[in-house]
Amino acid sequence: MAMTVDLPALDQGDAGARRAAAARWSRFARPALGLALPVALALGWELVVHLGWSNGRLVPPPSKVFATIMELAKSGELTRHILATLWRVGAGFVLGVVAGTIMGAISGYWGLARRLLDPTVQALRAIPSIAWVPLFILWLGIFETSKIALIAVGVFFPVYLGVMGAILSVDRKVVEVGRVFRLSGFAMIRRILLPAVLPAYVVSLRVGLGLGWMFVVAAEFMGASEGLGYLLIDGQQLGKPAQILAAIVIFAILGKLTDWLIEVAAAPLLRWQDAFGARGGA
Amino acid sequence: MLALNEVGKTYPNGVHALERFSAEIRPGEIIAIIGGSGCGKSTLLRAIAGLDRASTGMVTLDNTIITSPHAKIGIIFQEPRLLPWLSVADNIGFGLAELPAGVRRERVAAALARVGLTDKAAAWPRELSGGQAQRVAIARALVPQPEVLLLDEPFSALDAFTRRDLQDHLLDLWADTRPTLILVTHDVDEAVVLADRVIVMRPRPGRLFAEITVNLARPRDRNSELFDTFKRRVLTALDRSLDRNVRDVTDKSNAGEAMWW
Repeated sequence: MAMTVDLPALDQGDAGARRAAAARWSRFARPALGLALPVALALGWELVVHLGWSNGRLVPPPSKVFATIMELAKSGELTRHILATLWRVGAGFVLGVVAGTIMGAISGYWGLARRLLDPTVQALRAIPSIAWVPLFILWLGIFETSKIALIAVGVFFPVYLGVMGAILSVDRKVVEVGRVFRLSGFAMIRRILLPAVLPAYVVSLRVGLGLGWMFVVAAEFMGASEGLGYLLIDGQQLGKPAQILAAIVIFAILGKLTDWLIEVAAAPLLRWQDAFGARGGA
Repeated sequence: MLALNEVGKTYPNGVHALERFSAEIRPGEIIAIIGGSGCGKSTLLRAIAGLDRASTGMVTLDNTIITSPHAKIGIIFQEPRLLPWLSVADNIGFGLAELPAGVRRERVAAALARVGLTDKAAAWPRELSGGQAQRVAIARALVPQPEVLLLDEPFSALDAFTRRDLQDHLLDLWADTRPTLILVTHDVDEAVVLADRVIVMRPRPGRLFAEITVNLARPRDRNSELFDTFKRRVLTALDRSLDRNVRDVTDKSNAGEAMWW
């Protein structure tokens, strides 16, 4: 006897509803799960200060941090600082990405250039980038140029390494398909190499952007008169922990937001990937 | 006419993979090349494809010397080697980039229908089964209408049922335009069911050992006695090819009779 089990129509409808519920769960509840811990901690601290178990002077409660943000926003100060920082990160990121991509591509594609260039780049990479700060200030002055240069240096290395590594690890078998169809050098790059390195490239862009955010703080510690990093220093010098935390929160939001922008922009190009992460993981 | 004239290959690391291989292959002929591992089968195929250059001798197609991939020579590898970032339809049309989009779409649609994958046109390669992926690879190689199609153990990674299915399907597709097929295989069954001529090679260094003409009408019945006879001939030649003390024999069609078993 055949062992097929035909579900009655009613049960199938039920199963459909359950599936829809499961889909809703994964769409809304899963991200919410990630929020549970930070929200609980914030509420807990708020409660502790509210009950008077701590005065919250050094660690201000979330409501105080939020109030500081609103205050800064109302006076227009916040926009000015955010724009200053965003401009620096943006300019440094673009410079770093352009340089890293070009040099990474040359080193990855051309063996001679790699042997010539890569050891030097690797040696420079070993230098903690903050160590460049005094030199950059001497060379480029205390204003914007030296700050953007520092951020660009931070962004450059992960992008360079990512592009070079990605090109070197393109599957020889896929390149051979291009050869069989007699692709010229340029067509080979456009139709085979570029799509093949794209996933790794996006990852390196995101790593680079993360470092860009890290370095903008370092850059703004050295004599800035505006920017979120300036808010940090200013808060320290004037003893305003709420302002420091406000700047940190905004850094977190901006960092996450810009990272998400790259992710969203790249998503349509990477739909073909058969990745563990794409299915929501285990 | 595809002519192989004393083709030999020594790799830069000193491995002598192939020694003075000569053969003439008529248009539309189906050749199976069979032999133990290390007998230079794949080396030979890559030289014909123009992917590797022969160290000695030359490959000519209609009096053109082949030194790099040629528009009239297609190749199918052991793995489908589809480009994962292109849909199935775009993979099939990969070799037609120079054609206007309309013509390309038409030819791709026809090829998709021919291999029975019309409903998979928009799918990603990762969504295909092994057999489906290899069918796409076959379509991709055939769509530019090559005069010579090389196949490097194309079905060896598939299960027995799918393999049979695809062997029949390949013959079916071959009948459309009748390109020359050169198939490298480990599978005696496959060689006899497909080929007009089975070339047995012997290893270290790879060279031609025996040639067996399979003059059986198509479609061939895998269960017929005659089929078995040819299989046995190929098997015997294969056995002897691995015995290093045997003299080379290049016998035609009656190779089997001359042997004892």
